Amino acid sequence: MHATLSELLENLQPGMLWVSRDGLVRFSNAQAAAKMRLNSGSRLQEPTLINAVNGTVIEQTSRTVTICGQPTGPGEPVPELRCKVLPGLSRDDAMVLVTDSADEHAVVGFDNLMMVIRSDLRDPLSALTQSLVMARNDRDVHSLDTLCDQVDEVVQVLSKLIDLASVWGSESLVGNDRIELWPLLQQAWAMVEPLARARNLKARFSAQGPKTQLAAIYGSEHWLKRVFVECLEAAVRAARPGGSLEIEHRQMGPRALIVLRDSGAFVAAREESTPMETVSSSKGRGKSEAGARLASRDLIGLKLCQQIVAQHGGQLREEHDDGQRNFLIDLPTGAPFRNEAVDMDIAQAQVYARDLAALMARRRDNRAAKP
Amino acid sequence: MKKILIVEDQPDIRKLIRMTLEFEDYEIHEAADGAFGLRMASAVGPDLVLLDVMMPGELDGLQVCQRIKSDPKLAGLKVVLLTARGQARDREAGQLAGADDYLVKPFSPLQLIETIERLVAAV
Repeated sequence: MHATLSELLENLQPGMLWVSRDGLVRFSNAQAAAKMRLNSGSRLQEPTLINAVNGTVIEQTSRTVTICGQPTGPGEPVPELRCKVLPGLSRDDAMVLVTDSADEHAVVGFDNLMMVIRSDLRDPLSALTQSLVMARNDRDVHSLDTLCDQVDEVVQVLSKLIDLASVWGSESLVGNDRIELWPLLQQAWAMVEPLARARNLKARFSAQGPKTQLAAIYGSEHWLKRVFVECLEAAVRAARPGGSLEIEHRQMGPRALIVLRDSGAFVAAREESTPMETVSSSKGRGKSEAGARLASRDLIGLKLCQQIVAQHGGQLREEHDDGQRNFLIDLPTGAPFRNEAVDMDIAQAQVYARDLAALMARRRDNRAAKP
Repeated sequence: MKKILIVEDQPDIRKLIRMTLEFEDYEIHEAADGAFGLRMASAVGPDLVLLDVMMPGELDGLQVCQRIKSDPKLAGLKVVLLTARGQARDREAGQLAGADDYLVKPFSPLQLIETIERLVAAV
């Protein structure tokens, strides 16, 4: 299994089993292994769950069953486990989410992740494969160009998902680059500008105070640029074609704010909450499939940005100002506290201790030399 | 007695620098962030400023250095940047900001004293 997918599944809050139709457990995360004593490579034994997996694989619809789990120790009560069985990545397997309480948030979050994998990755790839075969047979160069664009779009979604898994809970990604936000914002805009041009959108950038005196940030230039690109792209996609975007850099004491004024960036995504947590499926709300796909794609982008900004000690938020909904990237200026500061203290103390004798000898010599 | 201003956000490093300088005869002042350090520089008029580069807040060490060197009243102060960042482009950024010297953490206290003596002697 790809390491990223493995990490995503391992870090899911509920227990997660990936099982094939014949009951073979292809993957079991730590939570599921603890609750059901089922490890990767073992077989399902519980008849109710086996039937549910079979039914899901045949009908490709999800179902929920309740089974008895394994007690956590001798004399402990047998827990009741709620298993939600979902269609898997192929037509021959299923995913089982195992909770010992009605933890709806995590279950629904997983539903959304699976929705993105199915609707934004698997389905487009299947359709593209068929179209590519037809275009190859017809030697249709024009269709191949269009298909390449579509492949590119799918790759972008996949990259976003992989980036999200990469930054999840990892502070090691935050670097020590000295970052000037204004030029970084311009670099990000240069990447988004072709999309804006295609939509006939103009952008107006402004900064409070001289641009050369704006505070610097310390962190990862690569990931913060990624945040700016994601947010600007979301704003461009949300804006009316032919309109304009206003992007402002504000300095508020020890914080730097990038404000996308009344942009609508991530509005749909934020109304849907987050992909891993409390999102309820947009399919059930009567939205179009394209709208649901857009929202789920934005959700990954939003969550990615939230994670990166949080690792820099900042936050993403929305402010209402005179009827406008402004989207803010709020970052602390200067160097945020990190453990490496403590490491530096220790290293400096060691060097000091090493040179202490020489320092004292130097002082003695200086005193002796004085008349 | 020559005056030294230490601008460093980490109290332990500040203390170590103070202990190092106490082996010599200096009047020592301290500030824990860039903005306060800049105000102290104006108020105290030190001969030399030891300035940490990466500090939280509105002004990092490079910005404080730039402002000192662009202020006619303060431009004569010697500035030594202290930083954990020792790459060529970091040194270049220090030079562009107008720093007189650049010490990479963890620095030797002997090296620190020698640097200070050399620069202060030229004041």
